[in-house]
Amino acid sequence: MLESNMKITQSPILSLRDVSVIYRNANLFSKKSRIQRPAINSVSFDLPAKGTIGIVGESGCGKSTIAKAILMIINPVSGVITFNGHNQAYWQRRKKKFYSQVQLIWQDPFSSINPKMRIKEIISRPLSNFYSLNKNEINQRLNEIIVKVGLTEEHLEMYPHELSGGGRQRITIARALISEPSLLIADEPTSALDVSIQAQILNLMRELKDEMSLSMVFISHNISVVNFLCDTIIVMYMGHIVEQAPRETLINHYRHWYTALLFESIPRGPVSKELKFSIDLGELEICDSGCPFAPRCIRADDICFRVKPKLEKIGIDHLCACHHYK
Amino acid sequence: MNNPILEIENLRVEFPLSRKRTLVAIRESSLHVKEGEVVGIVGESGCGKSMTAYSILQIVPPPGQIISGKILFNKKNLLEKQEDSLRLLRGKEISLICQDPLSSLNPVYTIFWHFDEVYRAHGISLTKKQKETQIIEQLKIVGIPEPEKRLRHYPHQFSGGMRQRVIIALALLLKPQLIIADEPTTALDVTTQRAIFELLKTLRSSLNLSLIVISHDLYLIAEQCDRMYVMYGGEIMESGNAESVFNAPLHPYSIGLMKSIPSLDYHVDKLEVIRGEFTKVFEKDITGCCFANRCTLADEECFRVHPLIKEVKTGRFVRCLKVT
Repeated sequence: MLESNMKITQSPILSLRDVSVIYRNANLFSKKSRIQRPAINSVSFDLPAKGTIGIVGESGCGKSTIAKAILMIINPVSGVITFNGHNQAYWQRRKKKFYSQVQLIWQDPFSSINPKMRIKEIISRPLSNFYSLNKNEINQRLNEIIVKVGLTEEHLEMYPHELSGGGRQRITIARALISEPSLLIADEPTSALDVSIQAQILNLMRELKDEMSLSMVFISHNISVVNFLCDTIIVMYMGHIVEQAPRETLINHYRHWYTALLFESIPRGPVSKELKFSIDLGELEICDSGCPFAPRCIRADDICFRVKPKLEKIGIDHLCACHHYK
Repeated sequence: MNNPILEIENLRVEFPLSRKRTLVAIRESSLHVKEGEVVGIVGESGCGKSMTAYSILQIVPPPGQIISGKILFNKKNLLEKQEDSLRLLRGKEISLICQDPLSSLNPVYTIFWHFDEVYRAHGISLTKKQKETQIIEQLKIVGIPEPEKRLRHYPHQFSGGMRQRVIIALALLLKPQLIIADEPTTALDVTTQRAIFELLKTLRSSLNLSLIVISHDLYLIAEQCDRMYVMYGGEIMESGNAESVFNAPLHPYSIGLMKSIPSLDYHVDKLEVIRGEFTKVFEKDITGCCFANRCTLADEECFRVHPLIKEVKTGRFVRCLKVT
């Protein structure tokens, strides 16, 4: 408890305020530009230094869009993203510095590394990009990091195809961490891996997080994985944050009806209960005027379709956007 | 209920890769499915779970070959049948639901065409009107709203969950006795996955189906199936009642697998892992247990002697020298 209080008093390393992103589809055949629904809609959260935030949600809920917005791959239409106290306009002019501090692990370890490069070239690329180091220094760093991620120096001379999925993901982790970033963004880093390998990678990420005092945004559709690694969990639905709470509060005392549906849908072994919620029948309807989850929610009434619920504080660090939370 | 509808005995599937190297996809596996039963096969990628499904329908991709064994479906050995009679069997008596709903439907044809193809393949001559009424009924069963309109739609107009429902409707069209669902919900979201399994559950009781569910998700299999098989390296390592295997796994691999899945119910600082990685089994290194190099219990004997599957408790079969 004391520890979590201390975290709040520190200034956040990353902070998002009312960030919205809209993808404009440049359609070749239709002249009229359609009004698009925002991929993420007024998303705000703070990541304290050395903290870990997990973002969960179904496909298309905007998880990866948040990662892209933080990494300046896409520009938000509104809102402010600050990293280390400076906004993105500041970092746009100092991209090298920014990317040496903010690094990313992609989902697919097969397509995110160049098959024509040796492992040592792949891993040392950030070093040669961001810093001017001589050969000896680079080699020393390489040898350090490869041992840290659980591989050996022999692997440095290999090509990616000689490694399995788990080995490749270790390479992408090494590449992300060699420039000693302070913020790591992991976009579904284990979803392409088998469970026994997933466990190895999760343990590794946890060790490295503590060892290198990283802050982390961890994106996943798997709540159990997020539960293992993160101290704050954000649940998203259709581009909105619907619930945000410290890990234990969210897992044990979730209040939003979508979170409830999500938790009840997860296979838990033979103990599982009957599903109490209305389930996805028909296409996903989208309610633009009111709560985005209203068409699927069992508790939805008139007000849910009319008024968009605000993300309100309902407990210690517990935020929930629902008119009728549990 | 108790008659076995499908029995696989000592199945062996090999992939000759070169003159010297042969990959053993399945070695001496036996499993059975009783009438009206849901059987789960769980394992990691490359363990031979999909290959088991393909062997039943005999659609093992070349150069794979079924080397030996028996596949008895309603007491008849499928491996002795000719290709013509197998074609009539597939879809009519045994159907397959594939993993990826995106690529299992042809994007340039309507939903009606896909159903029509089943009728054509099985030489069933009906008028278009009759076909349509049957298909609409089928789409209603799987819970697709406005089936009359949906019939004329193309696959891209459906969401992932709806597409998987269409595929289930296709698989059910000719009222098969056995359905093999090969990772039916891996590409879908958890809430959609739940909806699909609720659907399969109701269909199963109303149509008296037998079902084989293949998945890498141990929790899902334990929840949805009556009996389960744990596969590793082309072998069945453990089998038994789903609940008892889940609650008290006996084989070191099943135990390791259970422990390496992060849980929602409790929080740990470090996950217990199965050390090392899965290595493919080639014919030359076939002595010993294929899990021995990752096993914590393994000793010299495990690398030398190939363990046989044996009944440890009633209804619980384990392939391990160390478990008695």
